[in-house]
Parts: sequence; C-alpha cells; structure tokens
Amino acid sequence: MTNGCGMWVRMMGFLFAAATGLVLSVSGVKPLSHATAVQKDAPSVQAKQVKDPLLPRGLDDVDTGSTFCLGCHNEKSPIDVKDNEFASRFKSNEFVLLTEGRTWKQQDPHSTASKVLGNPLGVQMAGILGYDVTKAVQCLTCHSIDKDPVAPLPNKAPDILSRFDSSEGVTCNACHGLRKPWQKEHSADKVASHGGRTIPWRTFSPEKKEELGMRNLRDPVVKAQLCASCHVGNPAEGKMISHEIYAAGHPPLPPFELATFLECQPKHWGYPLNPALKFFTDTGFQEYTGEEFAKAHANWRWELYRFHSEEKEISLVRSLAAGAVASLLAEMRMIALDAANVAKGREGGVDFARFDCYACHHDLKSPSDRQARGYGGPPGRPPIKAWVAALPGVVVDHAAGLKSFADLAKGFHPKWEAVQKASLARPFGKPDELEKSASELAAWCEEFLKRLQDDADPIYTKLESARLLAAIGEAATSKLWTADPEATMHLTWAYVTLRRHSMIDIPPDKLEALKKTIPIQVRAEPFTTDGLTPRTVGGTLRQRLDAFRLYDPKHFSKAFRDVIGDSSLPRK
Amino acid sequence: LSSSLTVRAAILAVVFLTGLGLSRLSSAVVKVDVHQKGIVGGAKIDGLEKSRFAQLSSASCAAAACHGGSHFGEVGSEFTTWAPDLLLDSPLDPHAKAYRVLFNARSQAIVRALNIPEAHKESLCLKCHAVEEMQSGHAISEGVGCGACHGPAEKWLPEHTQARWKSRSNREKEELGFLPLSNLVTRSLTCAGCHVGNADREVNHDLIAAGHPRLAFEYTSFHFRPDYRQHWRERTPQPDFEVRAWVCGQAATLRAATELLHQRAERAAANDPKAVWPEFSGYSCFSCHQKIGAENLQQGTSPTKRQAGVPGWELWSSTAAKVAAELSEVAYPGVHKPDLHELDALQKLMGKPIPIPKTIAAQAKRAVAELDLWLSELHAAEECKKDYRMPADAPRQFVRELTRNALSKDLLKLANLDWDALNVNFLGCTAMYHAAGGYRTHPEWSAPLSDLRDALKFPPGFNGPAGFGATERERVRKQFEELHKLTKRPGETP
Repeated sequence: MTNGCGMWVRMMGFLFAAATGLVLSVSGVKPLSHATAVQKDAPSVQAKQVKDPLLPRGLDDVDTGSTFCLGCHNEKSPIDVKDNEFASRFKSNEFVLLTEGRTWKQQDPHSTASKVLGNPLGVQMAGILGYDVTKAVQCLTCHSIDKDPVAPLPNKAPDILSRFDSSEGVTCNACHGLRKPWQKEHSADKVASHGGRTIPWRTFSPEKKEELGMRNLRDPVVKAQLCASCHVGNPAEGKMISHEIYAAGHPPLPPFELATFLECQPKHWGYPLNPALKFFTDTGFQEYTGEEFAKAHANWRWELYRFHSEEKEISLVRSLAAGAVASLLAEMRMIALDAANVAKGREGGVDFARFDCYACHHDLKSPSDRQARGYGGPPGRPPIKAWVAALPGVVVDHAAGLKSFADLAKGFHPKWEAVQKASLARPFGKPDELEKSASELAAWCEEFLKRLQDDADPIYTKLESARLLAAIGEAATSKLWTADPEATMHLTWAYVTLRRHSMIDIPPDKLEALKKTIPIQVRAEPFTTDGLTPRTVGGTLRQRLDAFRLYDPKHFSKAFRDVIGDSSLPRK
Repeated sequence: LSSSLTVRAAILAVVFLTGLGLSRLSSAVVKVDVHQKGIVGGAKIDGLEKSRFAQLSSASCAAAACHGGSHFGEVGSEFTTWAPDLLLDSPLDPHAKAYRVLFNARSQAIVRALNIPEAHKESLCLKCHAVEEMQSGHAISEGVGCGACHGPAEKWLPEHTQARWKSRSNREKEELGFLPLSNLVTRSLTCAGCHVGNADREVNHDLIAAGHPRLAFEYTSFHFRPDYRQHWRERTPQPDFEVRAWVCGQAATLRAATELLHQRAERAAANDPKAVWPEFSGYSCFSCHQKIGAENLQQGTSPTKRQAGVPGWELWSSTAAKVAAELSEVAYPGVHKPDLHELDALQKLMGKPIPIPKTIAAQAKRAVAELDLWLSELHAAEECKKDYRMPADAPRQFVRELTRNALSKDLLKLANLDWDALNVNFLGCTAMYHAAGGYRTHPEWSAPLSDLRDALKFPPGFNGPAGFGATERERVRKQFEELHKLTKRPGETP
C-alpha cells in the first residue's frame, strides 16, 4: 500500500517535473537504489514553485562552474583599474570587490565542500553507511550543486548533481543563481546606460534580476532562507541530515546564526559599510546613475539593494532577525514533514537528529544538574533543539514592541509551546501532534519573514538594535536557556557579533574569560593557512566540541554577565 | 557418551514428571490473577507466576525458636540476619531497608520530578520496595520481607513447621505458594521480577531520569555484594554453584528483559495512553549517554554490523547470555544448547530507530517462549543438580568463551564497543574466576581482570563511563585477549 502510494507520488512528481521542463532527461528520474533509506514521500513541491524564476529551465540553462565568474571576479586586492579595461570603464571596483572568486577559492570552506567528502572522515562514513558519500545525492545536495533543487530526494539522479564541477564544492552559482541568463546579462558591458556611466544591470530592480535568475542575496530574508537550507535543512530540496549520518561521523551542525556566520565567512562582498564601494553612497549613486534617475529613486538603497543607510538601520540586525526565524522555519518544516510521514504510516519515527543532541549525549552524573534543574515534561524525554527557538524568542519579544509586528508577535510563544508539548508527549514526539504544531509554527515563521522582507521602513534603528542586543544578553543569562549549551552558544554568537558590529567594545580580558566557557564565534581567522586553500573546519570543530564537554552553566553565566557589564544599554 | 545419555534421560524424566504435576494442579485449582503462565514445554518454572495466596508479615517467621535466633548468619537466625534493626553497626541488607529509602532525599526528588505525592504510598514504588499486598497493615514497613521472595505464607507457613515438610518435593511445596529458591532458576527469576521487572513492575526511563538508579541485574555479582547479608548457606560446592548461578542468572535476566519488552510493546500496540514507546530503559544507557567529542567522530567501528545511530537493545542482558546458552551443557551435563534464533530476530527488529510495537510484541512473545524452553531445561536440571557435577575446568571454558565473545574473530578488535556489552563479559569472567577458586587456583587471571575492572570503572562523580574512549577500549581489548590466551588449553584451536 505504502509502496503503491509512494509510486503514485513519484509519478505525479515526474509529471509535474516533466511538464515544467525541470527534469533534464528521462534518466534523471530513475529511482535510486538507496532511496528507501531516505525520504520516500517528499511532497510534490514543484507545483508550488513552478513559477520560481530561479529554477533552471533545462540543462542548457544551467552553469554550475566558477570559470565564467572568475573571468572578472578573481582579481588580487586591491585591483589596479589601469590593468582592467572593464573596471576602468565602469568602475566595477567601486560597485563590487572583484576579488570574490579568489577569496572563495583560497579562504572560504564552501569551495572545499565536495573535496572533504573524500577525506578520511568521509571514507569512514562511507564504510559505516554502506554507500559512497562522494556520489550519494543526500550528501551532494549540500556539498555540491543541485541542478534540480526541488526534485524530491528519491528522484534526484546523481547526474543532476554536477560531478565535474563538484570538485569546486559550493560555487558562486549555487548561491547567486544557477541560470545562465543573469550570468550573461549582468556583465553585458556593451549596453552601458545612464550616459555610459554605468551598466544597466546595476540599476535593475531586484525583481528584474530575479526574473533573469539571479538570487537577490542582498535581501536578508532571501539570504537567510538560502543559507538555512543547507546549514539547517530543507526537506523540499532533499537536504535533511539524519542521525544515522551523524552517527557515522558527520560533525554536528553548529546552531545557525546568520549574522555570526556572515561575520565569520571570509567576506567576498563589501557593501554597505565598505568605503571603497563608492557606488553605494548618495553622491556616488547620483554620479553613476545621473541626477534624474537618482531623483526618481529617492529610496534607492532599499528599492534596488535592500538596505538602509547605517544611520537609519543597522543592516546586519535585519539579517540576524531573518536568520533566527528562517532557521526555526527550516527546522519546523523538517519536523513537520518527518512527522507527517510517520503519521501516514512510514516505519520508524521522527528522526533522532531533529531532537536536542545534548538531551541524550551527556555524561551521567551524580548529583545531576538536569535532575536539579527539573524537566519541562516527563523526565528523560528528549525535547526538540532548544536553540532554534531561543533567538527567535528574543527577536519576537523585541518585535512585540514594534507597531508593524505587535499583533503577529503574540502568536509565537503558544505555537512554540505546542511544538514542545508534542515533542515530549512520548519519546521522540507524537507524530500527529508534532506535524500539526510544527506546521503551524512554520506558517507563523513564514508570515514573520514576509513582513520582515516587505517592510521598507527601517526597523532596526540604532536604538532598536541596542534594545535587541540588551534583550539577547538578558536571554543568554536567563535560567530559561543557561542549561542548554547550544542555546546559550547561539545567543552568545548573536550577542558578540551584534555588539562588535555596533562598535560597543568588549574589554578583551572579559571576552577571553567568556571564550573559556563557550565558543564565541563559529570560525575565526586565519581562514587560510598556506594562502592558497581554505583552512578546514576541523580545528574549530574540536574547539567547539571540547567547549561543550566542559560547559558549565554557572561559569558561563558569570563570564557573560561580566561581558555585559555596565555597557549601559538602553532598555525599554 | 552413555553417561551423558543417561543424564539427558533423567532430565527428560523430571520435565515429564513436573508436567504431570502441573496438569494435576491446573485441573484442581481455579487460578486468579495469573499474570504469566509460567508454563513451558510441559514443565512449570517457579518464580514466574503471581501467587494466589495471602502474604503474611515477617514477624510470623521471627520466633526465637524458628528463624529469629541470635546467631548471626547461622541456620535458625535467618530473620535476625536479614532484619534491619538488630545489628546497627553492620550495613543493612538492601532488602530490609527497601521501604525506608522511599523517605530519603533522593526518593523525594524522584517523586517531585514525576509529580507523585508520596513515594511510600505509591504503588509504582511499593511493588518492589515492599510487599505491596500488606499496605493496609504495619508490615509494609518491613520492606522486602520474607514473603516477597519465599512466597506468600498463608498456606505453607503451618505446613513447613511439620516434620513432613522436608520430605515434600519442590513441586508440592510450590503448590502451597512456597518458592523453592534453592533451585537457581526459580531464585534468579524471582530476583528478576524486581531487579529487571515484569508485567506489573518496571523501572522505566522516566523513573531513571528522575533519579532512580538504573537496574543492571547480574545475579552472581549481586549475590556476592558486600552489603548483602546472606541469611542462608549455599549447599552446592564451587565451582558448580557460581558457574550455574551465572548461567541461570543470565537466562533469567534475559527472559525477564524480553518479557518486559513484550509487555511494553503490547501496551504500546494497544495504544494504552500510559504506554511509553520507545522505552529507553531497555537500551544500553551509554549508547546515547556519551558526550560528542571530536575524537568520537573518528572512533572506528566494531565488526558487529548494525545501523549507525541506533542504541543497542538489551546489550546488558543478551551479550553474555549467549555464552551461557552456548555452554549450558557444560554447566549442566545433559542439557541441550538452546536455539535462540527468535531472540536474534527480535534483536534485529530492535535495531531499527523506532521499532513498530505490534511487530515487536509478536516477536518478543516468540523469543520469550524460546527462552522458556531453555529455562525449563535448566530448571529441571537444577532439581537434580546434586547428582551431576560439572567438569572441574568448566570455569576455564567459560572464560575462554566469554573472551571470545568480547573479541572479533582475529582478536584484533572488540566485537562490540558498547560499555554494557564489555562489562557483562567482564562480570562473567570474574564470576568464573571466583568459581574456580580465585587467586589460589588462577593467579594468572588476576592481573588482567583487575585491569579490566579499573578500565571499566566509572570515574569519580559520574554515573557512567565518562571519557571511555579509544584508549580505554584498547586497554579492555588487550586484557580480554590476554585472558583468552591464558585460558587456551594445549592443543585447542586458537
């Protein structure tokens, strides 16, 4: 029965995909031999996303490699415009850095994402899992580029996961857009506009760029959801890490905090604070686009590039908020889908990987901190990951004080509590209750992100950002979260990143003391050891896991309070 | 060969006769409140059935002329030896203080976490910490009193003071509600009723997370616990006693654990709102309760193939039990090596992340029936144990087999990396060491066993093998290998 049903869903998926030209060849939908090990009844998402302009229209429509991009974006920094005709004509170096490819290749671990699958840990994992991790679709969806992202996992044939390009890992196009039209169009120098001062691409609206296939990563919500699709998961794209994969040796995914991840990624982007990018100043913009155009687009920063000047809004904070809620959304979607499949009769239960790792993975002690702390439900049931709700909780409570979010904010806590209740109703949750509550919270997250995306007015002014910072600090040291190292680490990352970004100094000794109790960032410089290849995450991972071994709520709280100190932050 | 045949015939005869006794019994008495039939293969195993008779207070046993004498540890002073108050300077027998502990701080914390008002009034607790049936009287405070193990005395108390009692068979005594604990199968099944659990008693993961100690029953090590005041003398000489106690203990523990799984699965399959599924307490604690360290990501694998990331079910009660099964015929000449393929099938099903209750209930039932066949043979053999001694080098054979069980075929790896699995193999070896006469007989076993004990020990302050990693595992492997080599008989295949 289940099999027949699965076949039917697969057929439907095939018809949809074929109808929209998503599937590149018949061989592209051959069910994989190990498909049973993964999601069988992934819902047919194509229907919903049929009109997504970012989705490739066919094989010819896709370019996954970085070669084309590196033609321009592989300069040494700083570039000498005299040597670069294109840059000297259009002052490209005042619009983008032009060093993006080099930074990515030499410093950014995204470029080694495929290569690492072949390292000793990958070999060990393959031995335990019984399949070749360098070829398995469930690995390559994140570690490489998926040319058909919305195909359900069982329908993903290895050849839609670019094999040749996979040596490059997660390339430019994986994030910026797979389709060729935008790649060609955005460098169309021959059609310089605005009196020859700039090329038309730069003044296209985000919608128009998206029409051509470029993902608008300048939009915090778009960015947050894209990053979260791998760094948390995205069931619709077959990106779901399982406990089996963890148990085989996959490093634990760190809690995803967008602002911190952005700060810890070797930056191949530069705006809006980078003074070298003169295009993004009022005078620069007018100079490039002409007085008339600039006048017609008074709100050009938001309209075209989705940011406000730093005096009006600290743009990183909107990313922080979007990242927090997008992570929660991603996790809820994974729980809802897994629970739905179980409720429908799939063998097993909601995957262990959806639950708080450290609820089980701790040493047993006597006397026990957990027993002293007490339990949210019956003792000894693993709750779902707490970190996914810790930062959103703070963001929402803060947003409750903002007019445009006040009504929506009320819905968060009851919905989160319902998910928690369902997860504790029996070990690893009651599937039907989990499906319902997680879907409701996911819908709430979608609504929140939509508002965050659509609100053209500055939200996170300096004052509001400072208030949010203070609230994050309070949450990190509150009893609600201190027992959970993942939640406190997530809040710490948000706090430290935001505070550094807000230029409110943290005394170095206090920061050092905090660092001894919890990792304060996901990754730290140097990003490269030999100047040519990115430093692997191994060292940082060891540090993070060791810190978790030694985590002590009391020591952490003290060190964190010292960091907050008398930074005299405004409070409501 | 012919002597072994004779033995087999004798055992079959016992099985047959007890079967006759049973059929007589079942036609005469209408049974009430029978939780488990305890009847297998035509034989009856004492210790599995909830009695239909009334419990009496331990005071009825404590007359000075009966079991309340004043010679600690002597025959006639059983109650005195067991009783809580008479020897204040010596540690209390854990059974005698079982009820009292329900008032201590730990119990208070447990009931708080579980939202139970009072432990000493809670049936969940009293089922094992006292003789629950006596709740209406003062006798509840005796804790695990005489009747809890020896059987409710309503009918057998007057009878057992008569001279004719001694000439009665165990079967006849059992009919009166008396549990003949000299039969090690009956005894270990009785212990397992609380120390593992049964149809209406269990320590589940909720209770453990609230603070109740984990149940990790291993009969021989419990038997020789220093705080356990033995109020009887074993009549079976060593090595027979301890080897057989170990075999029966393994079989009974595994049987109880499998039946507990069966009960839990039945409840979950019936959608009992109180049913907890999956029930973690049936899995190896430290499968999950280990920290995720960087070194854990690359810790290597054991040759035992199972799905990554699924905790091991009942490694505690099943790992060494397989050796007990393998060598049953050494411990009891003439007993068949049991076929445990239903158990293997159950273990395979339990190797899935969240097994399906209905499937498990059915398979566990089959596995219990299979184990009962084994136990009924052991039970019958125990009835005539005096007549059949085991070979003097039986302990060596067991250590040889236990260490083989702990290691991969080439001895270069551990067969299972799990602490529970390693520890039960170790405890089995220790039982055999003591059975054989300890240091006097096998001084060469002492060093590897001591090192195994130290390597497997929990660090101070921990309730688990914190930090038990590759180095410790290698140390354990080396010592198992050493013991394996030490117990090789000249000419034996490696």
